[in-house]
Amino acid sequence: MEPPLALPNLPPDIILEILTRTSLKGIGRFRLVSKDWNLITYGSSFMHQHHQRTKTLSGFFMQSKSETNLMPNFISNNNLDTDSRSNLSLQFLPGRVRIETATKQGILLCIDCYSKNRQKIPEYYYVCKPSTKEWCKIPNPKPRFNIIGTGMVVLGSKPFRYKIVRFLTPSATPSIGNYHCRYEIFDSKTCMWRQLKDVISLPQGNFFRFASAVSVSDTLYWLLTNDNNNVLAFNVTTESWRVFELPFPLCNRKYFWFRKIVDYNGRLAMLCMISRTSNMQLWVMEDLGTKVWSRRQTISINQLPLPKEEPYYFPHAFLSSDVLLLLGGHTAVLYNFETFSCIVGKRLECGGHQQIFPIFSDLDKFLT
Amino acid sequence: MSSTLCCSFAKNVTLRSSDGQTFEVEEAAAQVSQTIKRMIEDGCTGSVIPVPNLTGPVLALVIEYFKKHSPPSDGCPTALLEMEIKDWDAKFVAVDNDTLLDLTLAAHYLEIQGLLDLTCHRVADILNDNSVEKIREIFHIKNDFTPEEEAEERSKIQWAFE
Repeated sequence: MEPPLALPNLPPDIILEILTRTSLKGIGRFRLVSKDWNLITYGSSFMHQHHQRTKTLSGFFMQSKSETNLMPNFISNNNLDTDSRSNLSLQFLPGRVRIETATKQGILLCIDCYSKNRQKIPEYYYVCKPSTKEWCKIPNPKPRFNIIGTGMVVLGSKPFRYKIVRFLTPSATPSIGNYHCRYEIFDSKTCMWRQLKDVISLPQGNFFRFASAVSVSDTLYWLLTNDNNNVLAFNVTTESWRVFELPFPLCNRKYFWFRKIVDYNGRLAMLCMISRTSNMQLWVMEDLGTKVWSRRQTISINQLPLPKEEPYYFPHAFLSSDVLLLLGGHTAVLYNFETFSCIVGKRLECGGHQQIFPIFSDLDKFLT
Repeated sequence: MSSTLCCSFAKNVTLRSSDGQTFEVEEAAAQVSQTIKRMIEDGCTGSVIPVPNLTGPVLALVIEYFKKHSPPSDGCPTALLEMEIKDWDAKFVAVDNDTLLDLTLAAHYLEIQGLLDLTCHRVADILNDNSVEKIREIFHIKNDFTPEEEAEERSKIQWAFE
């Protein structure tokens, strides 16, 4: 029996007023209440008010792929706030670091900068939370082979628990035939790394693209590079993997000259640029089981009022359902599709390829 | 002082709820509501001000709030008074869920920012402490997810439960 409707449904304004005062950890739960609530909590106006009222923040860490000595940058649309909290940095760590991987909850896995030519690699990683400036060391056992990808997922909040997976391969460049890689898992519960016997055999011609992973639930996704493009999915709870094909036209490299997998409203999604145009398409995997993708938006990027310093921009990640991070040369921009405006522009010291790590963080301590 | 003399003859306004109950309240107190303040400024004071979105019991509660939060006649709220009001506020919203939601809607409709902050905070605390099923019950929300969709959404937030 349906519950009696004693009250008219609360107007969206009030739902927004209430939900923007709840805890960041609770938001996941409120997204389950109804489709309306789910939609509201992914919008930029919700996120902005929530950050202001509950002292949480969101943004992206970005680091150059080529210039490995530069510290990562942080871009956030909380910048209007005079609070220095909105400008996160990694200066609180003991040395210069690179981000290996990060979780949405704002936990980063970092490693001291070191020269690739040097034999000695750091013996530990830093696990840190930039919003609280907490950090701890975890071991970094000498890898048996080259590390080609690393991912991390938070599995519990009370007590705090996470797992890290890193993929290794004997050779840096794929040889003829199937590409094999092995993986190792770190569990914060045991504080130990385990080498797994399982070998991941990627379809012929597939290899890692060195992009950061996208996580949905307890599964990490990487876009693999080859002629028709597959996705590697790794579930950190079951420690199992599978490779699945992208449907047409997502699999067609001639049709799109730029593709990137991203998180959109908690779903696996893909940002694509149609070849020889500045038209962006957003595709979202609507159902994890049947792997049905649908096209949600098509946007002409050169029609957007972006800073003129750069001739072109590429889409990289969503901060909320209507705020997109775009990068062009040395400029990073957050563009709001609801208000049709650029929120923040940031000058990058080093242009070129950037690794992007989205974070949504509260100020609760994670180390106890 | 002449101003003191003026205030001692405080003007009253009459508010009428959706179910026809009428309440008399000092004009200065009622102006805690921006909506009522505008109506008074527009010259509605002569007659009864209708408040059609509020039932009698809810309007009675809102008037209690008005009285507690009307600007003090001497114009300088002390720290002690502020603390007392804070305590009073906490007790004021310690009511059953339906009344709390009624008050939230009333605060929204009458544009009483202080009361809106107060009630929304209280509702947010209740949300933080309750399961998804309980939240749907409190808000009388129908679950419009299919079981599959709900399972998928639930798997995304497992980390926050454990």
